[in-house]
Amino acid sequence: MDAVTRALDGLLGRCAALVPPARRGWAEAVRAEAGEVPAGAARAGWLAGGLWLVAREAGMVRRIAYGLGIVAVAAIAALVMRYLWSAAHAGRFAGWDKARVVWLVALLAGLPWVARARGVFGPPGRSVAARTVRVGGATALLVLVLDLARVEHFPEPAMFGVLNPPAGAWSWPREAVALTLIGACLAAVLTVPVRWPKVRPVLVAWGAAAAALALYFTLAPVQVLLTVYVAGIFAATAQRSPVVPATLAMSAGIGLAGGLLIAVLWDPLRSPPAPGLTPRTDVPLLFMLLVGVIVAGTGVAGAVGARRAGDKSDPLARKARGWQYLAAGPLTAAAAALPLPLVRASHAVHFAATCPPTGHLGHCTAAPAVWMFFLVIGPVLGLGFGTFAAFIPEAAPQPPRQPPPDPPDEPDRPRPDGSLSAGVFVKI
Amino acid sequence: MPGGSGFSAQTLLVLAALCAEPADWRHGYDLARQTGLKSGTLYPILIRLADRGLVEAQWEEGRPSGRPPRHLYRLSSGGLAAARAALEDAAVQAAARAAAAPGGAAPGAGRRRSAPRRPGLAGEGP
Repeated sequence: MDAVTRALDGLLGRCAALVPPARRGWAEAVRAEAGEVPAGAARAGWLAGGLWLVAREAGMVRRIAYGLGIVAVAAIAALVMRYLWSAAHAGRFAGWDKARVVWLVALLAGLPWVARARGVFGPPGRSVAARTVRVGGATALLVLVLDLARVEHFPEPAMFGVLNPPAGAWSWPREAVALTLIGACLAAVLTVPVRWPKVRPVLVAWGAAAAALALYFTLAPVQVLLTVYVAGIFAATAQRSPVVPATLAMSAGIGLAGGLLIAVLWDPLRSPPAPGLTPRTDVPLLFMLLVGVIVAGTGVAGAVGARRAGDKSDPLARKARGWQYLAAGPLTAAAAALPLPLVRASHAVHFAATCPPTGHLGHCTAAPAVWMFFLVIGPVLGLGFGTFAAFIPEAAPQPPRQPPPDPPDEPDRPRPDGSLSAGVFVKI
Repeated sequence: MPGGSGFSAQTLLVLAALCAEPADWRHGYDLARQTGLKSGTLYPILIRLADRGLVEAQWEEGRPSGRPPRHLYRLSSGGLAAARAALEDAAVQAAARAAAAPGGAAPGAGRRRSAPRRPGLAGEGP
């Protein structure tokens, strides 16, 4: 036990240097008291408490938890890549699947570094919500790529043109063009607000959404989708993000709860006449549910976040309040759309594998098309609702401005022939 | 569970220990023995109290023989007033809970602190 106590004492002495100088005396105080504590387990416990104090004061608990999250994401990425490069996954779309996961990993690892000068995409905020959303979002996207690859392993006429470009075959020139255009859009998002500060952020967001939709339907759908999701998650959770932790937590929580509800309600086994999706399934109803979740998340998360952002009377706080609504819509939609493919992938794989080759092929493989529809249209709708809600606070009636007092003792001067009174040219 | 004063139960324990002899400087292990708190709980509480100006801290003066100098703590004047108010508030709340619990004190005791009746009020009026 003496050896343990000595080791803990030495460790505490060294770790005290990690604490900010203003707090370092407290760690030294624990060490100084240790001599008073009875030797043995009690003293070891006392010193262990000192180490816990150092961990708290140095912010190490949060750092360690986030570090473990990054390690988990890296491990999942390695497992996904191992599966996609293994012999078990081969076929017509294997090239696309590999390109997607490489692009996703490059985005996750590279985007914060590339955009570090602007601070738009990283480093992560200090709040638990920001770090949880970032790690959870990265994990969900990696699993999404894996699920899409698993489903694509089978014939999928319904997915043709949704997951892959119309030609369907792997093409290096098309991939290069797509990635270049995606990179150009990201660069525009970073540079436009800096070079033209008068451009409203909502216009930048809608411009980026329009460009993403155009690229989605013409060149590389999944790559564009992954880019938009990664960029959105990083931008919302960055240290310099205007989105407050309450907005992040509420929108992610409401979206996730709604998405899980949709996934639970969407049971393809109930859908007549054959397993899989048919025109008579309840997909339109589920879509309405998705819309309801997005509206609720935008309203509730935006309102809670806006309340934390500041007072309405302050112009800067009013701008920050608008940001909360603008971010809450797409975040809620993304959190609601992601659980469907993640929870129901096994069903889709099963149906695609057991689908008869001559009949019901479209029905059996329609599930990923529905996922993609939800994943694409959800954030666009969320951006729309968020934009609408963000403009309501700005449109709220402002306290009337007091007219400037009349200049004292100024004699009435004769009006000229033309007057600009009240902003209307009046000919007297 | 935070009390009505906003202090946690552990913080109230520390405040009570410091309040017992407010003029004396106390050291960490002494407080830990009295409150039953571990060092990993006690010191963060002392740090927060010191940040809020409720506790004064200083290193022991001189060089004591056979041991390193201790870090000493006591309540500041503002801290003493805040501690007394918080402890009084906690005592009132504890009494109210005891009264509300089944088999507790007589109804009306503790929780409701109605203003004392002025003599003669009952007979007033038209």
